[in-house]
Amino acid sequence: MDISIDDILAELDRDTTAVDHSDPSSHLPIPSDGNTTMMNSSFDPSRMPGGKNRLHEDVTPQKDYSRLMTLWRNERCAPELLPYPSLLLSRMLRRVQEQMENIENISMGFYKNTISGDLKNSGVSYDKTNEKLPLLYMEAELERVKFLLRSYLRCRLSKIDKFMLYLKQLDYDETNVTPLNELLSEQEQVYHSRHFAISLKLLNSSILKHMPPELQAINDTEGSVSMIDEPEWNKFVFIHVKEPSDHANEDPLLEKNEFGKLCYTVTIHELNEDVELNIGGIYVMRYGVIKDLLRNDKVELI
Amino acid sequence: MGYYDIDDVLADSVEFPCKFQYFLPGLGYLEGNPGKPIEKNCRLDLPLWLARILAIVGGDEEGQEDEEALPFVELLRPEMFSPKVVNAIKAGASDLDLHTINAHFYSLAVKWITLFGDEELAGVVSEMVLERSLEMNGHASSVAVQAAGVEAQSSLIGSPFLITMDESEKQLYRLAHDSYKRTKKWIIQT
Amino acid sequence: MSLPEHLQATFSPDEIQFIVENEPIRIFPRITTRQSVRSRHRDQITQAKCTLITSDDHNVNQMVAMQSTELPLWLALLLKQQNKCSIVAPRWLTLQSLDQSISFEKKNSDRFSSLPWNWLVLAQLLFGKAPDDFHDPVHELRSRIQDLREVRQLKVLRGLRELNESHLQLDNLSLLEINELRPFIVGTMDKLRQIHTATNPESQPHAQAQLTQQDLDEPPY
Repeated sequence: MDISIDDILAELDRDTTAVDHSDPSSHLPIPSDGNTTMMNSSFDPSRMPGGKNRLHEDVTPQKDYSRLMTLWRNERCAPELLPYPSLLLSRMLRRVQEQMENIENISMGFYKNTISGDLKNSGVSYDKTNEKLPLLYMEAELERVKFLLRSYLRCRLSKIDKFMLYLKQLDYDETNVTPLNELLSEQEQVYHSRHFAISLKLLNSSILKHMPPELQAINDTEGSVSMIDEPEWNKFVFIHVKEPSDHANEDPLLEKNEFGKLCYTVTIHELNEDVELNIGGIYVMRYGVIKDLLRNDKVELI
Repeated sequence: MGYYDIDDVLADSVEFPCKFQYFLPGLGYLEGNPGKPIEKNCRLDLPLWLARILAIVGGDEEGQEDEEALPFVELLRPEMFSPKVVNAIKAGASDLDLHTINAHFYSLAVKWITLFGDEELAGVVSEMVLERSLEMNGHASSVAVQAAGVEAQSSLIGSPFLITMDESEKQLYRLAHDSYKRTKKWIIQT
Repeated sequence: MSLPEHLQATFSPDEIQFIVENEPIRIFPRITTRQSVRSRHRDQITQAKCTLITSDDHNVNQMVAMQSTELPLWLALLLKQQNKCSIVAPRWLTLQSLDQSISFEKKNSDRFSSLPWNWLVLAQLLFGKAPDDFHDPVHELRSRIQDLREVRQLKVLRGLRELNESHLQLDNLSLLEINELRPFIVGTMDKLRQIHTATNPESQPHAQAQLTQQDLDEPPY
């Protein structure tokens, strides 16, 4: 039987489609995380008359989108798997879902309007193509969001594959700072454990069961080379040092250097060397050195 | 890097000269004399994965606890890190046929430096990496664009430098060249 | 499999374009989307409102022909494609400005002119999709951009001599330029780092200074 790679990829595409129609939770209100309350695009304080609601100031579709752009870029550049932003993702997925319904509604309404407009023959001239424009924009935008979500999730999947054993090991490590259920989404956890089980089964039936028991380990870290591939912590990455937020003077990490410029200081332990990272600067740095600044959103990977 | 890295496995199977520091009965098959012993001070080429362990593990079980037992073998400096090669690197790293010296030269150098903390070699190899990387970058970034403007290809396939690259350099060349090619293609198409 | 290998440590130029397309740009619309109260009374047919989920949709719904407004680049390019707007070229993208940038690049061998982080991508996109919106002849602008790119590439090439195992500062290098150089720079610096780490495997915090360290405090460019 012929199996085309395109079919496989198409299958993969369907599997990673951003919106899971079978998931009823995607229609449920999102639990609050303190600064996030129930939000959807039809109820958006930033668009309501009377100005912004302070409570909701931090969550707007625009900010969410640009945050996801940043997370996507960080994920693509970071050697390790970064924590899964579950609230942000559920908001984005819900907006995609709603926008799809929205587009459908408009395109049906548009059809009716055209008919009635023709019948009325009111003499009011309007350009029909202009009527289609909003739909065109909304569809184009939707494609952009879908691409972003897909690419982001694919990138995470490739890392989950790559670090299958390492993540499994993290799960057993009680000293671990970020537990696996914060690092991975629920679906990703299912994917990871199933992938692990399948791989183990394959290894077992193809080779390991033919080996003496003492050679059956797949996670031996005692030898000269560990069997578990860890992220390359010191890999060089390109970083951009972000402008400090409004509360810059409250940031204990931020200091002024001898030229009066704001900067963060990092230490490259292996070289016993301190480096000042100027605000707005672009650097090539060891990932391990700037990892904490990345977690604290002081730098972004580019 | 990593347990399943095939290049790393291949590099580890490169043979290094060793000198046995013990008389070992029955191991003659290592030098093609099955059934015979290996004499003390016998010189033999062993794959690095084996030589490394024999050079670290002490062979004398009755050796005193506080004194380190003499390892089974002494790992000798191989030809590829000899003064002759080091001088050739210093004289002109870009003209060197690294691939002929050893296809896994860089990887083996890192292993050797890790084993012996050989800082002099580390300095020489660092200089070499930089100089050869720049030379390689010149080739990788030279992207010829065909008249049609769509297909971009290297004009330098078959350039003498490219066949002198070791495995790590080839890998980097591919990545760098690919990146230059994609960028150029995008600029032309846009 | 889930992500093609060539995308695993870097971006494709198309993805860089995708990033740049989120940036706002100034346009002159040729259509009006703002709906006056009067026209709504006169005719029941109202145009569907455009609601966006990634950017503020206020501007796109309040467009008045020939009154300048700001939209995300992807939206502006879409309008342009439909012939519904003209795009205002950014100030740095004129012959005069570009000539200044080129002469800055030539005068300063150790730093890049402060062009925006998306200059190369933006210029290419506008040349391709809005060539009639420039006051200056596009072929001349194109050749200036090409000159600029070449003079900066030469500078980068000289700067690459400073690659080391510690770090680099590369201010004002644009995103596409970074992305193009990324595999080479990261690959070479990782190799230098591995050699250095090999000399002190325990990687003690007080490792001795050694090797051929350049003056690392000095930004190489």
